[in-house]
Amino acid sequence: MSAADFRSEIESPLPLRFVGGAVTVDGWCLAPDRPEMPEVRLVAGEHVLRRATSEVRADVPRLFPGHPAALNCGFRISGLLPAGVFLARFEARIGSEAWRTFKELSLVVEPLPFMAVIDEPVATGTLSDRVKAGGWALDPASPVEKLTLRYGHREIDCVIGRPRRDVPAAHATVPQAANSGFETADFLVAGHGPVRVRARLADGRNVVAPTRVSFSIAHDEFHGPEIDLTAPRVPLPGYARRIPAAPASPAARPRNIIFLLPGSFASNSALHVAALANELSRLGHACTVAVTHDVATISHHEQPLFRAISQEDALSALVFPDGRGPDVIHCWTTRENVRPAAETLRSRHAARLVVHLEDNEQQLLALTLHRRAEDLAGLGDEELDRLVPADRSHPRRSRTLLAAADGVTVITKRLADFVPAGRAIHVIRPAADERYFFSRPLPDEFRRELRLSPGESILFYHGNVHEANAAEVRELYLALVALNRQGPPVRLIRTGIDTVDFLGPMAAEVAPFVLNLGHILHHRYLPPLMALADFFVQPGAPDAFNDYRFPSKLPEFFALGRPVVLPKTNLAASLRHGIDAYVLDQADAAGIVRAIGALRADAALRDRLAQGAREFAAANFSWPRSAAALSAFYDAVLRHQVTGNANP
Amino acid sequence: MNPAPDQAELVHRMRQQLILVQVRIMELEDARDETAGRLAECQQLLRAAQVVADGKIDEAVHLGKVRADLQSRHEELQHVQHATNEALKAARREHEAATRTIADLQVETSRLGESCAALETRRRDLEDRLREANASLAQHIARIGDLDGEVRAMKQSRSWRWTSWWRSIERAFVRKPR
Repeated sequence: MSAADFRSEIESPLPLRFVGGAVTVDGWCLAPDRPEMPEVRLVAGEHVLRRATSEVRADVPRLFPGHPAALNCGFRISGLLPAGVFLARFEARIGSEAWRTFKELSLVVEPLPFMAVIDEPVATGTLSDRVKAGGWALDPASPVEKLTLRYGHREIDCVIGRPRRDVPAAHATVPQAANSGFETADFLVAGHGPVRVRARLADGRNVVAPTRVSFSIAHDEFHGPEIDLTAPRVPLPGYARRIPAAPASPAARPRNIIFLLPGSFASNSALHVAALANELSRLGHACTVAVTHDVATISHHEQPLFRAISQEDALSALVFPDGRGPDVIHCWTTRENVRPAAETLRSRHAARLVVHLEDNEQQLLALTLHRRAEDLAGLGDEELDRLVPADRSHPRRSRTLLAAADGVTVITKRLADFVPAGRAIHVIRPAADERYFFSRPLPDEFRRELRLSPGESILFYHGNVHEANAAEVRELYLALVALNRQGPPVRLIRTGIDTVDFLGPMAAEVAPFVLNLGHILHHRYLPPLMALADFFVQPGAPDAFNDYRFPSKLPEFFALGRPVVLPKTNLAASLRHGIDAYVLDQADAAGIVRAIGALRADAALRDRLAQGAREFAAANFSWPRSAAALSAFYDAVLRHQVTGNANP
Repeated sequence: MNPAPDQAELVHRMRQQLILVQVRIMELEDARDETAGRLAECQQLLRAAQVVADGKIDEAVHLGKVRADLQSRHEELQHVQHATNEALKAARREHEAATRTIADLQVETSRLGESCAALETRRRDLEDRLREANASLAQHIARIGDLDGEVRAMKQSRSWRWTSWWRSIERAFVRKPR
């Protein structure tokens, strides 16, 4: 008689994958030309699992009418396999004939996870007594070195290595099962919640297993009944991303663009460059951003669409995905830590050079060196080379760079004063990241948890304090003291780093009114915190510094939809006092006190300015629009079609 | 009611920490979302890899069957090749014999060709001699004709006729030699 030819089907969901070693596979198998019922088995490496049960099949007899084995040809193979990846052979034979493989499949067996059970004094439900609790915890791969129980806000230590008789019976292959018992080192302390068992294993892993037990210990010697540990958590709402829409019209000619950033991705300038590079990438351009140091700070930006490299890498080899070099070198500021790189790259590539100005660089240098800008202008090159630090602009070399540029972008129109005649100029209007900065209601419930005094107001100021803005931020703090002296409390939530001592003896006096949160690593975490504020204040006054800058926090203030108080300089030229914002001739302490007083007294004004802020933000701040305009400017510069102000 | 100074400091710190905890929660939410996403991607990749592996196993099984089929066909073809080789050898032998015959025939043909050429030369020579003989014959026939004419002219002449009696006498007395 010839060897049987089998027909079969494996009907368990494919691919075959099992957790913890318990394998079960269903299917059917018969030999159409033989009336006998075949024997079926699964061979995985050196392991063999045999048919556990025969299953009645109503469908197979329809395929093989009259076949005597068709009705009962279903099979279920069950058994245990060790963790691993196997080539599983399904084999069949009739009588004592040789086994024949009728199907081969991959079979993955995942290892048993870390297991933990609490069974003393309860195995399920809620334990409310201050007793010791115990159970067992077992990882099949590695012994437990340290064990704690976590519930609510508590974590308590356990004594491990207790003998167990029941666990080895169920896990005979795990040697550490015999001593898998544990017990809390002390009586349970106040805390409420489901219990998780957390262990550090000998192989270095940390593992966690849920249990079927909850602890609900109301109080102990350190927690009185006045604290309700079962109270629900009050969240600070609003950490939700908005997905930006795809650009309406991609760039007609994709360009290769490199931005030279004077600092790392953690700098304020990086927020603007990253936003523009992302939006330009959405338009189809290939963008690279080179930083002077710490490329790893790119992690501060979520899902960047551009390539992040170091300036050193840019200078050694700068190749874009299409194999070409850059079309545009966009040098962000004229500072000494980017200027030489811009000139070197331009000498190597047939690219247009665009320089960006975002500050009165000469004034910044004067503030840094504590000398007058006019005095610095009179110094010789050697003396300037010695004095000018890398993060500031050289008075003469910066002018040379600007004169060599094919185009200049500025953050505010006034900066055009520093641009040589005949250069193409484009104003880049900064914006806020629309994914995170949008209008948010006051989180009333969370504010109540802060136990604010009746009528208390919150101000929010994010940003570092340095030489250039120390005096005006000090005015904000002075206003804070004055407001708290004269009326309902006002509290300032501050983030950022202070690089200068701008408060001096006043520090102790303002301390009770300032919630200093320090440096918030990711800018995207700020908006929910900013939503706590009633008002935003940008301190300052028209001067040689403020007239030429655009505080990057302003678009973020407006986007949040709160009344904004700011001085009559830079952006304020476009604002209507009492409609879009509260515009002060000088946002010094007296002015800020006056503005906050007016806003607290007039609910209609508050509502109007909140609405005005939202509308102004929607109409004026948009990175997609700013990037589209910049893309058009690049096109014009590349075509040599622009001279003078591109968007007067 | 304002809290006492110590308590105020504690409340201040509590507020600060409460807000910072929110920041931490945001960080953890990010980490959770990122980890969950990566885990899902890994699971998906593993599943896809196993599906690919199953596909490759099926292909391997199919190729195994194809190989076995090719093996059996290979053996059959080996037999056919043997038979073909034998037939080829016989054909070669026949071919060699035929080649030899052809060579012999070619030699014979060459020899006959040479004979033909000699006969052709002989034929041409004989034709030339025949033409010459015919020409000589024609001359002799022409001469005979001329002489016949002269004979007829002589016999028709008066002198021949007047002397005929003499020749009759001669014929009567002069006997012709045998």
